[in-house]
Amino acid sequence: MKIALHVPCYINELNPQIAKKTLLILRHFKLNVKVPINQTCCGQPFINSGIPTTLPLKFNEIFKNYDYIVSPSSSCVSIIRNQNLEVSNKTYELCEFLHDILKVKDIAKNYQKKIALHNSCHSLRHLLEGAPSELNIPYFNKIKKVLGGNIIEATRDECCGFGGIFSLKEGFISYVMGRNKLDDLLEKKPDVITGVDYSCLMHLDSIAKKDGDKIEIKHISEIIWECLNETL
Amino acid sequence: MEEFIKNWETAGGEILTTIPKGWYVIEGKFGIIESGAVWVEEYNKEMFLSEKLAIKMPKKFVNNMEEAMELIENSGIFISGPSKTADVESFLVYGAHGPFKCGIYFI
Amino acid sequence: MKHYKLAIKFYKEKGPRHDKNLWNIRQKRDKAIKEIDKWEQLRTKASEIKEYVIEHLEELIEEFTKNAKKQGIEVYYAKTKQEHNEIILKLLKEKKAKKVVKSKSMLTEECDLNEFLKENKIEVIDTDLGERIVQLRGEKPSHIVLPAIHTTKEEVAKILNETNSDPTYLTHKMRKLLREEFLTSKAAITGANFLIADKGFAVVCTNEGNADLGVTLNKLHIISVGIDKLLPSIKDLGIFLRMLARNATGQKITTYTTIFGKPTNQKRVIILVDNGRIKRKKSEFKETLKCIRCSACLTTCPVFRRSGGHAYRYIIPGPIGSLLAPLVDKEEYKDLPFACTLCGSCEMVCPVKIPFSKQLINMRKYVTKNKIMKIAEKSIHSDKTFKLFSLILRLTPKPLLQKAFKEWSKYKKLPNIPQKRFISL
Repeated sequence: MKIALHVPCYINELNPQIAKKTLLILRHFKLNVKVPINQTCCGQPFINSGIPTTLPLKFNEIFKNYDYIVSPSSSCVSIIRNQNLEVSNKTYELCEFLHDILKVKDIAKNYQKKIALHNSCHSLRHLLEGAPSELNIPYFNKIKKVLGGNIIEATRDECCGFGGIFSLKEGFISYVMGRNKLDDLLEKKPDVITGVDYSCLMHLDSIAKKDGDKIEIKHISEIIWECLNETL
Repeated sequence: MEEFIKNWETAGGEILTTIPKGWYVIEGKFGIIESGAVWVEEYNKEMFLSEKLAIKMPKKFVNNMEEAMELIENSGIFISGPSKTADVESFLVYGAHGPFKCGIYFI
Repeated sequence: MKHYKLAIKFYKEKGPRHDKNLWNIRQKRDKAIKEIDKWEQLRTKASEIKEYVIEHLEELIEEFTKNAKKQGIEVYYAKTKQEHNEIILKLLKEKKAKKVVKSKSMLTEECDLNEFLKENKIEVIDTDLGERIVQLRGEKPSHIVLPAIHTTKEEVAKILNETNSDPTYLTHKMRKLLREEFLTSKAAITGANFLIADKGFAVVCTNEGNADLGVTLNKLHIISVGIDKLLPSIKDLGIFLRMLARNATGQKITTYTTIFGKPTNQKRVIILVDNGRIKRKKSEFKETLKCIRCSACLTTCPVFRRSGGHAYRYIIPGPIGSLLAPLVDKEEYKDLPFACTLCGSCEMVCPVKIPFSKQLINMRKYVTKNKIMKIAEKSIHSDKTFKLFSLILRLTPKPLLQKAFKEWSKYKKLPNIPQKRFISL
């Protein structure tokens, strides 16, 4: 099984640890993982801004010869999946890959901290990694299954207000939505807030920092790696 | 029938055992269980001007609106409880323009 | 003023309560749709019916017209909003009507009918309580099913010169005032939720009974309706009646669902309005014609709930409005497709599965001329130029970055940029 790691460009720039942890997780499962170094951007910021782009085609070129492409970002994955490319159906978000392909579960069952999971829109509503409250389908959540244990979710499974270009055009409403999301989660007294999209988490963290909330916010790959590393 | 009554009452409708004085009476054809509504072929101003409306109907029901459509030939109206609105601060109030009360009397 | 500014103003005044009220309705909706086991299959069926309607629109218009005429209904076709308004004026003049009662119709709002008739000295009384409230306030509805959701009971009391702000009291006071108007009007205008091609029926759903009261009290009943409201057959109507109220407000059905066919003792006129719909059918935005105006996309939209409907400035606000408004005026409404996080909630509640995320992205493309982004797109194809960007980012002093991302920095801390990338520079 030939696996490629997709390093989302914003993670490469802003939180490279996430890419490193994702690579370590995949290698922990004895997978043959390559990191194509000429990768740049999947095209998401352009597509979502209404700018014509051929970046997904470049993504396809770089990754098409792998069996699976794993990415620690559900928003990038959902962009690729919507494109009808060779790579579309073999590109997976990390937790989705752990759940669907490696069939791993309960990694964080004995994690000592109380985890709150932020279900990001791309993970929940675009990739259906869980059951969104809008639909009449039975409840499930792949990420929670992978983590295991008692995971807290927000009362409202609505958007945190990041929305990429939205956060730059409508700073105020973006802030309010993020504030509401933090309040929703903090009310349940978690030790750490996590999620599969660092973009949402970075947004929430930037609000928590500005408003002075004392809460640890980290990407799911960091928690998963902590747990795997412990059991070694 | 139980489910129909439950849904009719959720819509603010009542079940009448007699038709009290002063209620305007119309005839219903059948009930729709899933919707808690009654199919009525009469259509006149008194139905909407009156404050209390009684619908005399047989104990005849269909499961849902898709089944109801099979039985509809001409114009008419589905009624589900009394006239209502929540336009003032999302607060439910009966008697918006039409009847304050609407009851079913089974024949 | 653009959406982001109006949103700030609205949120600071009324946002949290508006959000809470609408979220309550969303939850009622969720409960109501979960009572139907085959809800998701119903959505698929409804979507397929609507796709058929769009493909066969012209034929269905013809079939409907023929069958409605058989019912004794007069049918007009208006290509533009001006044509629509002129037809109504002519009909009202024939009846010497100086006052007309109108129940909720987004179509007449789209056509600016009230303003037009006012200029022609005909008084239009909006009879839906919520619409009457906004009419008296000199505003437009802020939500297509809950027109006065942005107002407080105190504000309603104020326009009625009342000190008592109890909702029941105010509702019944409005009822009394409007009853006078009903009894002295000469004609009734309603919209229609559905048109049934194989029967020539028009279907109107209300909770208040205002449409029915208007129709039964007047000798002239005018139905103004967009051609997108057509359904092929009465069988299809059953599916939509199972869905509409549940998805809109969480009710099992609206209080009144009237099927209008052959008129008794009155004249019934239906005006089928195109006003850009046939043109839209041929565009990349044709899927917006599937909309049945249930309003669920407004109610669920996390931005709408916080910004209020008036921030959209178009008569249909929220996600569906952001797809319709720029087609009416591209320059004026170009901010609307961006008043959205692409969260996808609208798409999931939509009973006819309009692909909102895709359409909103297409609409962004339609309104955008961002040259800098286009250059960035070109240069980012090469990892070498990307690395150059990275380097520049790391060399830019923080205050300058804060300035570049000022909408972010105003409310949030800018993240620190680590010296090292994962794929090294």
